[in-house]
Amino acid sequence: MIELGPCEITGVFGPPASGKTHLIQNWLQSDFSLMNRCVIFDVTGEYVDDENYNHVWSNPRELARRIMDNQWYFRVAYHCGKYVGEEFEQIVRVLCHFDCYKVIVADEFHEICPIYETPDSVQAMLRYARHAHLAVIAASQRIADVHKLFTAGCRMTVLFHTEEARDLLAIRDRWGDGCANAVRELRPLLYNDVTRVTQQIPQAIVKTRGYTPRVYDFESNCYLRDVVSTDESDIVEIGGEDETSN
Amino acid sequence: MRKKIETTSKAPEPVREQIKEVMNAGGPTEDFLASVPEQVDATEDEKPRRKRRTKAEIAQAEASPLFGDERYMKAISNINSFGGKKALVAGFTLAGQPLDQDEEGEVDDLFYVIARRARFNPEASWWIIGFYSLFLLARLIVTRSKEGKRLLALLRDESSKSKESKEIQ
Repeated sequence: MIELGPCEITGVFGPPASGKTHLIQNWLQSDFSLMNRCVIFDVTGEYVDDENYNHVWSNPRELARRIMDNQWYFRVAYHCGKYVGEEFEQIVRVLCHFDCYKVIVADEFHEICPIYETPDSVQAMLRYARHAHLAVIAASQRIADVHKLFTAGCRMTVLFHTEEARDLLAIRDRWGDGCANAVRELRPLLYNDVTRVTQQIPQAIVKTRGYTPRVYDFESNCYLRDVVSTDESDIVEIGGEDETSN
Repeated sequence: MRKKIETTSKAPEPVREQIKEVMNAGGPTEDFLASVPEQVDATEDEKPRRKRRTKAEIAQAEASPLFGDERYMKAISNINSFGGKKALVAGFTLAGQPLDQDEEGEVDDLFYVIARRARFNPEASWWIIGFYSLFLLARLIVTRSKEGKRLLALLRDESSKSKESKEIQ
């Protein structure tokens, strides 16, 4: 499995039915200690029937009380109501009030952090989350749909296969042509929503800050290769004697 | 595979107060808990606002429907100066020096300006209309009383005498 950092912002991007939610659920079920103090901000109702979590229904104060009871262990699925942005702001406030290391997980992050109208509270979270001992795992269908503060703040970015031109452009702008081409060439997830049968297990690009992007294969659960840059600007000429000079 | 991190049971350092303040999450826990809402409502920006009226709509709303009534407007303009113009004109007439049309116009303008500057708007208050009603009633009673008639006759006589003397001269 792709391993998470200790208290970092992690972004997962891929079109619908690409494997984002499955990856996040795998992280949530892992023995990673941060997952013992997690709040899932459930916009889509994905976790409504999940018995592994305490459920809070659109009540930030109730969430605060739950965390107050035991701030060293809480696994909460917070199901928000109509005002998604306002509730997210309150949830982040609650989490930042407590000193423990914790994680907030948000799917469909473009609802909270859109490219142009990201609220100040979300921007503050993206800037100061690590100082508040808050890790953020957020997923969105398109990297071009979320605020740059989020993509820039991600210590780890997971990219699933996409062919959307604007997203490929956004990836190219950040990590070069080689990464954009690699995303286009990834093996996509093939999943039958009716029969719930996975016909093809996907691959993803994992870009960790300070490392070259790597291709991760979910079938073999290992990294396959580094993504080779094809950018001319990235090719560094190595100095040496000119053979024709003699 | 990277090494697993954070396996210690040691309590973490507290989140700095400055960071909590930035995140609007500071203060004692009890106070903070009280500040967290149980039910999240829309922000002020998202709350449905009453539609802003256009200038034409405002003017239409402010304009009295009675402004189309010419007789009403004439009556209001008479009340506007609280009968000052009539009293002044009548005074000059009784004194045998009636004002000509231009002079009457000037007096009318003067009282109009006074009424406007004093924001004397008879439409705005029932008190003004009531007071004016009493004033009018008193004036009519006085002018129709014996004493009043005698006074008017006296003024008329004096004015006619002065006219005659002027003519003789």
